Amino acid sequence: MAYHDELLEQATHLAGRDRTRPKQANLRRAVSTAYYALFHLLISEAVGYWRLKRQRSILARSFDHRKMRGVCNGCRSQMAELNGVTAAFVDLQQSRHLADYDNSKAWTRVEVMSEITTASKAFAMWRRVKSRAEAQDLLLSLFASDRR
Amino acid sequence: MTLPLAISRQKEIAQIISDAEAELRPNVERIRWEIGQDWTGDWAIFVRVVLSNAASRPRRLGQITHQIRTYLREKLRADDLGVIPYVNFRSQAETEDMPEKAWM
Repeated sequence: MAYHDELLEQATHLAGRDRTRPKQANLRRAVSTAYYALFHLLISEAVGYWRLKRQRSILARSFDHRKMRGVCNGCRSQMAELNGVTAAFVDLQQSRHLADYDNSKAWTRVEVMSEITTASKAFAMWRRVKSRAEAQDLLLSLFASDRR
Repeated sequence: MTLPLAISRQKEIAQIISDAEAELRPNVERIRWEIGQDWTGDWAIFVRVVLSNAASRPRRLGQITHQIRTYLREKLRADDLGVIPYVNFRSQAETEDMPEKAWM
């Protein structure tokens, strides 16, 4: 199983723990993990186009959260699925920021499960559009300084 | 600081949300919203949707939240208002168990 798929599975596992009274630590980690699942999916897809496998992990480290968010936030595609993926990325990054850094915010299981659904739907939408030129161009823009 | 159009269109937004509440019943109990800035400083509209307990069941939750998110994004046209839409969900039972002003 690919790392991003494992992360999505882990997010679901964490959110489902503690049946009666979910622990905030598990819910927070679940939100954060759901974001990282999508983050790593996109990175994995982008570096997959790099022919030298041994260099892919080095290239992967050049991706920056804020840069990726900016690109996703500016994406206005004719393909609803691609817009869905980029909107999910922006959504999840905001939630991840709250989950990781804002201890004043309490999370509920429904709130967290809906975040995981967002990630999971983004995975499905990405798989439908990933072979399209526009999706491939998006991957490049996620780390390139300028698209053109 | 440049303020987004959404600030001056709050009456219009309130009407859209009110219509959405009616349209989305019985799955939705109520919707609360506010305009603010997200973690990067971008202007955003934070929408908090309280789902009925029936709509919050695990088997239905995924489909329902996806439909509501899509619906609200289309209706709000947040792009035109200069804000990013963030939609969050809690169940009715959760808001009773954990009462917070922003969700009531």
